[in-house]
Amino acid sequence: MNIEVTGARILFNFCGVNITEIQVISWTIIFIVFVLCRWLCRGLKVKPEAKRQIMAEYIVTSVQNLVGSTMSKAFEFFSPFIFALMVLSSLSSLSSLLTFKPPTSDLNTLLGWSILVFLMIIYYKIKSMGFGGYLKSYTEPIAVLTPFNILSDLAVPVSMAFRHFGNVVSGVVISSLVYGALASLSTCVLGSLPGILSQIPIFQLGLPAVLSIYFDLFSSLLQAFIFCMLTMVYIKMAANVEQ
Amino acid sequence: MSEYLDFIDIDFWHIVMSMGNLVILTAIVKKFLFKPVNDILNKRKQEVDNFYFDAKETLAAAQKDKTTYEGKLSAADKEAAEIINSAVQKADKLTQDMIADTKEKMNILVKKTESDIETKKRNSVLEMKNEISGLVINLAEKVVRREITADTHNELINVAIDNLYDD
Repeated sequence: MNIEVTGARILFNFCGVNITEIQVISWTIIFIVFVLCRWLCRGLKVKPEAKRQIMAEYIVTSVQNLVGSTMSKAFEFFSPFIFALMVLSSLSSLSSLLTFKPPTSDLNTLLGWSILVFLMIIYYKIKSMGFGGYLKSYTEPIAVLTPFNILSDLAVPVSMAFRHFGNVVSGVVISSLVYGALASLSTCVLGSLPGILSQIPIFQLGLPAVLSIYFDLFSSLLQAFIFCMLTMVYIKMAANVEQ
Repeated sequence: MSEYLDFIDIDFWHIVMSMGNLVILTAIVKKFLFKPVNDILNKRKQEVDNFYFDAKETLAAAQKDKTTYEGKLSAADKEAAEIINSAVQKADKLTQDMIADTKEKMNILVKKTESDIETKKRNSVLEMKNEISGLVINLAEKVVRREITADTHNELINVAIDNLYDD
């Protein structure tokens, strides 16, 4: 059994930048979401007649309610960002169901998202405390703790990125290991049979699907939700807003 | 160039592209999903608000009309009471007038009856006088035919008185 866990496959090089399958899948997801948005919002009417309008209204109001209840009503303008994050994360992870390498199994993708969230956190901290207050907050409660406070802040994007990355990659690795082991088992059991019968990977049926339900469906959606919830909570804490 | 990246291969441009992808998707869902849906929701809310505003105005107008009509109804009731009162008074007066008229007619009738009785009475007396006169004349004729003595005179008078009673 030879299982190799690698990074993303490089498709081509554009101006010195490697374009991998991760980027292509991400752009495809963006395009699909764009088409879905256009389809959902086609011919909107004050009195809804189409089911797709009801679905669009349900999605928008649900996300706004979630953001409003988690952050505050004043932060409802964050809803598109949270929705985009949730959709991109979920669909990226779910792309593994179609045998693609999920963009969420690439650390660069998750670092990009978490750095963006981190920049927002810093922006709202400076906005609520002022630049001086923000710098001073690192020296509290005593100046000796400044390095720890800086580390604590830097840990936010790192922990967010690695939590998501770890969960998705662990699923991919475990699934690959189980898949490989089942292939070996099939070869051991059926290998002595003549002809094509010895090549049927009979044991690969069933169990990988069950693992896929957990790692690709449940864990993917759960991690997307956790990432969004953490984003909202960190930004709310940074903005220091009352509910 | 390797066909695959390393399992953990941190690349600056890949991080930037990932951030860019998220920002682009945010812009897309904001422009093509949240904005149109929120616009339509706001428009619907506006229509509902307008509907409630119109309903409140209609209710206020209806209450005003109700007050007006209640006032008019009250005035009509009062007017009806006055009309009935006036009609009762008129009927009373008419009754009184009729009674007075009847009494007057009755008095006239009574007087006329009394007058008739008086006339008939007078006529009877006149008739009686005429008959007495006839008797006297008869008596005088008999007296003239014979010599009147004292006995004859008394006899004639008695006879005349008897005849008178007989009549």
